[in-house]
Amino acid sequence: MKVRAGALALLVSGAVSAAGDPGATEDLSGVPMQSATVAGDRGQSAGATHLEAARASEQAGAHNDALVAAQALPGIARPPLGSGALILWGAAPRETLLLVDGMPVPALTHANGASAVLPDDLVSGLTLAPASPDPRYGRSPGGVLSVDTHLDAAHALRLAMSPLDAQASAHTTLGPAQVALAGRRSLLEYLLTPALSSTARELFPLPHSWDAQLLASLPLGAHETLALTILASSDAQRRTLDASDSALSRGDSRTLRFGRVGLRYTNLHDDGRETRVLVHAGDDFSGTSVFAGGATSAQRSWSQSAGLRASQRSPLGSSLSLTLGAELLAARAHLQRNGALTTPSREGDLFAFGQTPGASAASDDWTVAEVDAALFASLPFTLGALALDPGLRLVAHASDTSLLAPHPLATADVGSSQLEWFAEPRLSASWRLAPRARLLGSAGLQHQPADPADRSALFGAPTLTSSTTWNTALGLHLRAHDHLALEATAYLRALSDLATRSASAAPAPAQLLTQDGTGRAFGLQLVASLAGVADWTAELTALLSRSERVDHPGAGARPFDFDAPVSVQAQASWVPGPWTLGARLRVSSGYPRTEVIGATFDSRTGAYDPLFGAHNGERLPVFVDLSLRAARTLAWSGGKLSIFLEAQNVLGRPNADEFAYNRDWSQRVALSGLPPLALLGLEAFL
Amino acid sequence: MTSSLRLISLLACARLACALLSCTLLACAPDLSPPATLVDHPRVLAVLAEPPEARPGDRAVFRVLLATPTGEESASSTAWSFCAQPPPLGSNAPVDPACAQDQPPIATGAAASLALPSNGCSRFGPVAASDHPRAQDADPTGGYFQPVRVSLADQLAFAFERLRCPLAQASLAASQEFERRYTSNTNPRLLSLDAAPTAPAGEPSTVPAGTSVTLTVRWTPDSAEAFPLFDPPTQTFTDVTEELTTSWYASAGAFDAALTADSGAQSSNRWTAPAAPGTVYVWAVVRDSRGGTASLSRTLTVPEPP
Repeated sequence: MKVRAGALALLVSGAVSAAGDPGATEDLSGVPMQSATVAGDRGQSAGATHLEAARASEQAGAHNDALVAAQALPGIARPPLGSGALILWGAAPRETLLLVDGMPVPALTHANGASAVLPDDLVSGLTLAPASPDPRYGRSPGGVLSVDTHLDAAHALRLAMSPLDAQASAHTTLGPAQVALAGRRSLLEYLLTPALSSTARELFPLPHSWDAQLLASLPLGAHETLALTILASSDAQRRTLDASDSALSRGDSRTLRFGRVGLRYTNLHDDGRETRVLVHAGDDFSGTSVFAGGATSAQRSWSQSAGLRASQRSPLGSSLSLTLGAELLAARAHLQRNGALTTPSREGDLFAFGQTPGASAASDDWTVAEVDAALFASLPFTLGALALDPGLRLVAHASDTSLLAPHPLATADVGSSQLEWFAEPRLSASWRLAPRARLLGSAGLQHQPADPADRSALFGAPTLTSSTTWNTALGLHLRAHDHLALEATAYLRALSDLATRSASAAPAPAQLLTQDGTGRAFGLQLVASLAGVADWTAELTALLSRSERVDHPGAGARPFDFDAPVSVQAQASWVPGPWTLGARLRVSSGYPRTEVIGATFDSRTGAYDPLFGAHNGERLPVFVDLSLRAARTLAWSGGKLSIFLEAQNVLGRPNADEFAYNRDWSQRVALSGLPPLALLGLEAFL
Repeated sequence: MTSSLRLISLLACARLACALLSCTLLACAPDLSPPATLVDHPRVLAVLAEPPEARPGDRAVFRVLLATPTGEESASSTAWSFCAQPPPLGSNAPVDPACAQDQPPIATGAAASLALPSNGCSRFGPVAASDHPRAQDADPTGGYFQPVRVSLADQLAFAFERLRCPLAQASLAASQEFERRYTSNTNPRLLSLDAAPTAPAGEPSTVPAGTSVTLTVRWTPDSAEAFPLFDPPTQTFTDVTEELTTSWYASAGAFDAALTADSGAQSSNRWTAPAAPGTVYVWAVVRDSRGGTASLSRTLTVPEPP
């Protein structure tokens, strides 16, 4: 019997040379593994972590889903309930590049954050590189979280079920090719809807989600492989207050659907060279709406994308190698938006859940086309105890918007085009101070193109250009003992040219957004991990972080909407024989909110509008969650069955994930997150 | 045990877990009382303007409807003023936050006759000015509104007088057609507020504790006016008829809905009497989609239990 939990005890590996193993797959090559812990292996990039799927899915609170466990990796703040958004080192979710087999994807978990868009058996591992200095990747000022898939033909069929969802995967071989087909459907809406009161259904968005995957791998020779990855995912959820009265109901809804197709060619030459080519294409739809009292503001986006990334790594000696590559990305987004100018809200907007969208009826329909052409190179080398990996990414970013100004009367639509050039130097370094101590550092420049949603002539500014981010990080890794590793990583991120609301009371047309915004995020990431001691593994992580934004020159700094100053997590696993027992305690600051200090009556609508206090001047209460997990694997000839029982929020804390107000904004209640909850699941391999 | 039996038994366990989950979720629904319909303290229910639509510089009379648990009161301490600036375009607020701050009144009293500022269409409408290069967006009915600040005691309300402004993004021909076809809005003309089956309007109604009556507010058929709605991209007009909605309020008891739609020149709502005996005041505030407002009220009696 192969008990995956047993691997936990076998993960301690010796330190490898700082410039060493480039990794078995494309997405791991930039962050070679250095050590092992419960949560994951640390990489050469300061603060980076690699996590094997088999270990990730067995963490308490992960619901047997490796990608859900990624939300608890060091450096990531607790995602808001029902979002699954990754807040990495104080960066906005959009600033973190999510990759599956090298393909950019908009999400790795479904909207509820409790289930992944890939089944566990198709995931081999995931790598988190905050503020990644890897020159292969652009559009990632926050970092890169990459997921590698694999095909495991040990079992032909996998069936999994929990109250969250039902999953099925089938593996087979077709001649020399391995093929896997998988799918998942959320179950909560079927199981719980009949049992819940209408009020509970309104406030606890039950996920409506599904995903499907087709993976294939064809060996072309001894060292050559062609791999196909097809992904599809769909999510929809809705939160409502006062839903019993349709005329007064207020809330929001979100929809996200995406599909991806990727084809990877890999050639690991005999002489040590590595050639990798990835071609991918995608189709996305996202929709957000805010409604109150019959008024609705909505934004919808349809986008198609295609990309090509090719690279070759050539060893130039025993301590020197060169990677050269090119990337081409093309995307076209068609967006529609109607309703008030500021809802759905963007980062930095003053908005409270349940607020009336506003009476204005603006409407826009625009298209943004973008092409990125990039060349990248890296030249890792070692000089004794010092390993350096300098890199450079040269980017030409061309974009075109369909409307430069709001629909003018009786004239043709006039769009705008712009071309930006960037040279993005990157550097990572490792200095072995002692046999058990290393100093890691990284620095890099990143640019992030303006969000197409911000480039409306009516709601934003079509001429927005890219923002700039400088990332620096310095970390100290100590292997204090054969089983104990300690890490401390400090980081500083400086952002400029951020799109922000115009400070003018009367901005010119098509200039509702300006690029006056700046920001900074700094913090300290601490990790202590214990592994391989009598079937025990344990890890303590802490992220002390501050993320601020300055909307306009001269304005004071305000907390970033996702600023979480303190995130502490302790987790432990014990593997006595076929059992796996685990626990995870998470404590984190609440996200900022702007206090409602009063309200005014709107005689035109009969509704009340809030008066706000200091921007992001208060916070949601501290979040505390203790999750416990017990799992048992039973094996028989030709199959095995894993059973897990998870208890979440064992402490029964009414963790608040949002504030909700009554209609005149005079009373406030906290919308609690998950109550004490037991999840029983099973996973069968046949 | 076969694998299929294992699956079945564990599926049953999963359903049990879901049932437990549902029980815990039920206990989490927050209490956001009191209901929007309850008048348990002095509340501004509406600010009535006559006429509800006027040109900049024209005069309009504004009156505040102040409801209390003991009936309507004259809000003689009301201070009136105009907002001078629109809200920042980056704000979701309906008025400029500065207008929510204290400012000197231009009139006081329960009602005020005010001359609208002459620059309303450039401040709050489609006319671009040098210091307001971006015109305001119309509401779904094509309307632009002059905010009127209404301050009394600890309450702050805003009335919105619809402005007759030039048509935005329109050709000369379209503008001329609009002026020919468009009729300024008028307030709904309410006829009665009946309580069925107990008594017609104007007569005291007795509703036993805990029982329900249907309240119906009626208005003249022409209260739902037709108006042309302009579509700039096509330079065409569509004839649209106003929709009337009714907001319901009571000093005690509970309505089925806080807001009801029109149903053939009337709108009905069911009201359930409270357990405590006494006199209950109910109000129906009818609004049309272009900003017109009218109201009626009546009293209901909840008798002592026999």
